[in-house]
Amino acid sequence: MKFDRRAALRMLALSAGGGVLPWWAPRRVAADPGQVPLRLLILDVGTGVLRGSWEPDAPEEGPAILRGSEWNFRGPHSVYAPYKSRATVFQNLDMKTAKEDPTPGDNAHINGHTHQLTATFRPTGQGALGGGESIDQFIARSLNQPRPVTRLPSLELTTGRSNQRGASYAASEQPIPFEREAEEVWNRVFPSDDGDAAGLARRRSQVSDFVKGDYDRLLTALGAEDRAKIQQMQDLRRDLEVRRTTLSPRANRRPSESILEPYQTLGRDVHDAEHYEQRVEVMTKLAAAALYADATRVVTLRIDRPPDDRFGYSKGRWGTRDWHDLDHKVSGNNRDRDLSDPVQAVDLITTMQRLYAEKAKAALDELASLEETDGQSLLDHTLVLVTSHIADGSHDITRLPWLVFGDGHGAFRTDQYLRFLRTWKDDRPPSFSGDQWRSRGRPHNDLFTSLAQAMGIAVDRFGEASVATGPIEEMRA
Amino acid sequence: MRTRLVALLACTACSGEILPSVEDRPPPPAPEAAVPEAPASPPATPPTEQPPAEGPADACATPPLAATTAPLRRLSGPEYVNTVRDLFPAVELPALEPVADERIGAFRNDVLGQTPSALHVERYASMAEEVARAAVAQLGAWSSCGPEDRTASCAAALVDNLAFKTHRRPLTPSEQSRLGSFTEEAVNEHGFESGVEMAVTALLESPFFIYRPELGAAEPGPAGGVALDDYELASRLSYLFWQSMPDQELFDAAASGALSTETGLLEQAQRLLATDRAREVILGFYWDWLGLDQLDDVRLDDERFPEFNGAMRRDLERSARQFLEKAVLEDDAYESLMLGSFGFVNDRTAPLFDVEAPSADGFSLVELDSSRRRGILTQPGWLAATSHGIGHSPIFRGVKVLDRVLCTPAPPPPPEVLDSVGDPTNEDICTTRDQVAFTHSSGASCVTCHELIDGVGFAFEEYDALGRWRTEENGCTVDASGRLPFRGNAQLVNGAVDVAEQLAESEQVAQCFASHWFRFALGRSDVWRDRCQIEALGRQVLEGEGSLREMMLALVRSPAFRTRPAVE
Repeated sequence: MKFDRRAALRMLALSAGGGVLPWWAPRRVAADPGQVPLRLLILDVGTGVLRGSWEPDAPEEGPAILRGSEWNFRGPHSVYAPYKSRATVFQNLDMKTAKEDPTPGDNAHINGHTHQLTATFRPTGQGALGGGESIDQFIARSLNQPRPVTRLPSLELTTGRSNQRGASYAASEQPIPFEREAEEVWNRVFPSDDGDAAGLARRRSQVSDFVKGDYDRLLTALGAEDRAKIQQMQDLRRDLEVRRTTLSPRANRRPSESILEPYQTLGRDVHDAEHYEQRVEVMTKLAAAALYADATRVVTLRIDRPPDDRFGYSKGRWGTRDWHDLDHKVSGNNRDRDLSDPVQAVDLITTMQRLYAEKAKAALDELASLEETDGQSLLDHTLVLVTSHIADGSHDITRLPWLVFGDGHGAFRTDQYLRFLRTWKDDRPPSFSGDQWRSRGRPHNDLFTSLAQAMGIAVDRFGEASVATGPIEEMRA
Repeated sequence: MRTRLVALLACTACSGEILPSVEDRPPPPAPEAAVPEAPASPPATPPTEQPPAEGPADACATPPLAATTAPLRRLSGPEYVNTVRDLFPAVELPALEPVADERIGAFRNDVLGQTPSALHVERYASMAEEVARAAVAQLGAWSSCGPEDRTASCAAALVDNLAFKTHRRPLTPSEQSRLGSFTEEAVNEHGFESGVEMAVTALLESPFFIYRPELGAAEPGPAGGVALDDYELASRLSYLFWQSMPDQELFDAAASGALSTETGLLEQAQRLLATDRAREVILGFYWDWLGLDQLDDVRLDDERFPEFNGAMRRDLERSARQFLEKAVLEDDAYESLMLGSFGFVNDRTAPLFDVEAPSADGFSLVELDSSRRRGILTQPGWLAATSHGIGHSPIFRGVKVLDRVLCTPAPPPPPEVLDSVGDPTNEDICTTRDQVAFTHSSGASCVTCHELIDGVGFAFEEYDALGRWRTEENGCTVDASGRLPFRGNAQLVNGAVDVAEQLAESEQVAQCFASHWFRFALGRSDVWRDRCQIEALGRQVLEGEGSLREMMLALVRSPAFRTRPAVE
């Protein structure tokens, strides 16, 4: 029987003889035997979706919330149809902090990347790095306080190039490195113990104690700024020691190591364009496996773009320099002027975006294929956020084509298309032009607040306080 | 900070606004939310200093006696791998994959890019265990403890010898005692091999290995700072020129106190500079500084550039590398770097240089037409590194020169791109310059910044995406007129050769070059108070024979290299 969270809270309130608890009241997140924990999977899938191609069909004037048969997926998002009942889609969800950040980003993509999951302003004078802890790190850290519950606080994976910075941040100006080598990920998620776990733990503990002494001695000799660095390393080491000695992934949830085969046989060639599907599949399986084995409860997976030949593009086509240029021209004001065949060009870009969505959908499939102890699937116990660092190829960061899958153990009502109010400066009609910068939608901070609360974290607002307005009430069950 | 302020002000001109207008401004901040406290993050931005409003005209006549700042540095990825290999030269080690460091500016060894993460800590721990395991499995390759002497005391002595190298200095008596006790207890409890493995693991996980603490000599040093001790200077030298730990000769020099003298310090610096290892590190500096690593990422349309394949890419890299080897290492001349009219060609790249293919296999040195090729910025490798898609990019070329050669980086682009651009007639557009100029002149948010960027980039229009010389593009005459935005004195130029000649004479460029060496050597961005030392280094390459080696030695002699501020 599915755990009825709301019923439990009512019972708790009654037994305490007190008033009704707020719906986000913290609850124990360490899984009791038989209680399946809630997980979070964030899928970062590139440069958004062409404006006008994905928005569910709905009358211009109409209810703010469309449910069930009142809405449907469209365009590249059609691939998600099998999971519609679990979905929440948004109209006028904006990366508002990116618009209002007083410090310009080094370019539009960095502007998006640095706000995508942090929802806060960059540090003054810093155009390249994010200004705060990202939502995945915030949730991971919160879940593991006051004591760790999983061996890894979080996992950040990428199928792309190693020199591309991800959107996750431990703190201001502290980007989290993403892992791209499947075998190294495997060794972290499923470490081997060489058959002498107790002996290994003992030796590691002794080594750790000795090393701690070195850190303590060094701390006394350093200035304040350097001390902070060493203190941070010590904190991370201490955390690692606790995790290694007290927490292990569920051994019976470990998949066959054969899933690593493409990385093992191809070596570095696995990162070539021709092996795109293989590495996306492997990393997706690893992400799911890590969640399934409770090695972590928060995974962020960045999926890189399908190579040109997968969607029929070649450089120079229709007067474009490369796919990026094509994406710009298709999304811009002057599509008909800039492209020799705008109709085909649009079709090509939406094909690419559909291929991208199929990879995200494959992640949902993978979660759905794994059965939990309560007979439900891992997907039933996971919140999935499908995100991107810009809304579409014009670099717009409003009207984000993001989706949430999952009800968060009863926290969310799903199968909804939520249409937030938009106000226009000077009463201008919407267009692809600079007007998007004058408009006001719902800040993405609020989505993150809702996700955090669904994960059982007591927080009123996430990210930049001057922008966040609170959780999205329309998502509440 | 100063650069960013300039960029911010420039962006005002670009987009017409920095802050939202009055009616757009967000409401007053809401009360603080009850958010769990985020982990304390060490300050990642160096102390910012503004130039004094007033000051002596010749402030650099008495330059600072001590370094302005010396943040604690962690071994970079390559430094870690190299150091481990040098610790166990006779041991076959597993492949090590440190977590990649963030690139800050041109380089990946800046302290700002060294914030640790859970992944870093796990990776250090796992690498330490892997190395220790391999070392113990091959004890005979490095251990003085024979099969008959697998005792706790022998293990302690063995580890003590190793600790000197992992710490890169002698241990204090208390450190020795503590390490010795740990090793003996580990051996007694777990056996010789396991005990030694534990001790080696501990040494490799120690902050004294992973970091390069520089606490300075015990005696007070120059005003405002302390002199680094000999062992710290030994590490500075070895990590600058070898990206690895000191060798025994360098340790011996440190032990004798020789590195505290300028003579002794320079003697060792010159010795290190003469090695093959230093050649690789120095070439790596130029590779990163000039952005030649981006050659690896260049993707060009197959139909337009059928000759650009993997082999051509490698040839362009080799050609550029050999140019640098000659200019920097053999000629040892700034002038050769900036103005050298030579190239290294093989049969595949000869057409790019417009010369006959050499008769011999491989690459040959050829003299080039100095009216078409002068310096690294006219080499096909550099030019191709800024190309992408269907051709070359005057914008990328302009950005690269502004950022890396002039140290006046272009402001960031406004958030919206290509909003309202007019419709050109077919007669208007023939060359890439025509297209770019039209586009950037049509958009109000584009003009100001692109006058800066394109003014530089257009001067390279005589070279196509692969760096081939041309006088026409699409049947139209190429226009390579441009503008170099020197501080306080912009110069009109005509063609990249003119650009090269102007840059080679420029104090601003020489100081920019010196500042990059400064950042690379010290692993940090320069601050305002470093300017006197940087200006002196810049003068070094412009005066006399312009020896690049002498500039590096001047850097080693400088207070920034030999001292640190007093610990507060």
